[in-house]
Amino acid sequence: MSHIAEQDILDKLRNPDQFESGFSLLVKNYSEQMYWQIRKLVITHENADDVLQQVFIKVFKGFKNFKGDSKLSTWLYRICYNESMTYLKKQSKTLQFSDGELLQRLTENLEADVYFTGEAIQIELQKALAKLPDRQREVFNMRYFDDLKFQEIAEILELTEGAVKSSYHHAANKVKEFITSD
Amino acid sequence: MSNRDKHNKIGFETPAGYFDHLAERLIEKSIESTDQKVSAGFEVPAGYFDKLSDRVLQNVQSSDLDQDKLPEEKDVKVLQLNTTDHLRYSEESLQTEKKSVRKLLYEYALPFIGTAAAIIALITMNGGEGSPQDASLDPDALSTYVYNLDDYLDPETVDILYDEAVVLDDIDSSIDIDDAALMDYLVDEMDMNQILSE
Repeated sequence: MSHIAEQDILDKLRNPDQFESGFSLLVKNYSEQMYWQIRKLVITHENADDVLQQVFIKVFKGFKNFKGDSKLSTWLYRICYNESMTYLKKQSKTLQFSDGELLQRLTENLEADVYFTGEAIQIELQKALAKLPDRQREVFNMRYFDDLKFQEIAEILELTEGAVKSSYHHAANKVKEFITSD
Repeated sequence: MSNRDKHNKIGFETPAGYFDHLAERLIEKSIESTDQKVSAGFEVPAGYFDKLSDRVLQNVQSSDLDQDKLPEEKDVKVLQLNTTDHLRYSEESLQTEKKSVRKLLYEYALPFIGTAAAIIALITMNGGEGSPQDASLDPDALSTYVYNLDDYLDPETVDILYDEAVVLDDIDSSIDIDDAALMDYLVDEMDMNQILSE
C-alpha cells in the first residue's frame, strides 16, 4: 500500500460526499492484511471473520476519531489488535476459561482444523505462541510474520521501541525454549 | 539425559553447532514461502477474500441502518416502561444521562418502602394503635430494624413490588420527575398499603 494511495483514501474519507467510496476503497485495500493479523491472534477462521466484521463497523462509525497523528494503517492495526483481545476475553468469559486457556485449546485443535494446512512445526509454533502473554505474542507476530520494524510496532501498540525489542527478545526465547524442549 | 547425549551414546553425531540454531531453522522452515509467512499455515475458505469487501460493506451498512432506527443517543433520557415487560429490561438499557424512573425508585422508593414496611409490620405485630405493647417500641430499636430491613429489599424486590404499578407507564419520559411529585406518589402508596394491611 503506497503512501499516495493511503492519502487518497484519507481524502475521500474526510469528504462527507465521498466517505462511502473512501470506505469502500479502505476495505478493498486493507481487509486482507487486517484479516491475517486478526487470524494469527484469534486462530480460527470463524473467529477472525467475526472480529474483522466488527473492526470494520468500528472503523466506519469511528473514523471521525481518527486525528491523523499516525498512519491510517497503524490506526487500523491498533483497532484489529484491541478488538481481537476483547473478543478473546469475551470468549474466555463465555466459555469460563481462564486467560490463556482458550488460546491453548484453540491451538490444540489446529490439527483438526480444515482451514489450517501448516506442518507439524507450525502447529508447534502456534502452541508456543499461545503460551506467551498477549503483548509478546502480538509483537512476535508483527515482527516475525509481518516483517514490521520495531519502530512501527511501537507506534501501533503505543509502546516505546525499547519495550518492543525487549518483548520480542523474551518472546523469541520462550518460543525457542518451547520448541526445543519437546 | 538430553537428546544430544542420547544420540551421542548410540554413535550418532551432528554437525558442530547444529543444536544451537535448530529452533531458528525449524521456524524459518515453517514459514519459507512468502504466502506461508503471511498466513502462518492458516487457510481461508475458497473465494473468501473475493467476497469479503462486499460482505463487510453490507454488514457496515446494515449496522448503520440499525443505528438510524434508534433515537439520538444524547437525547435518550428514559426508556419507556410498559405494564407487562418493563421489568425485563436490563439495568444497562436504563442508563441515561438524566435520572431514570428506575434510578429514582431505587434512590427514593427503597427507603420509603423499607420504612413503610417496617412501620406496618410493627403495627401489625403489636396489634395496632393503643396496644399495651406500644411501650416496648424503643426508637433506637425501630431505626435499627428499619435500617436492617433495607438490606432485604434488593432491586428485584422493588421490581416485584412495582410489578402492578401501572401508574409508572403514564410517566412522560421527557419530563423530569421532581422530588415533591414522587413524594406525593409514595405517600399515597403508603396509605394504600396501610389500608390494605388493615
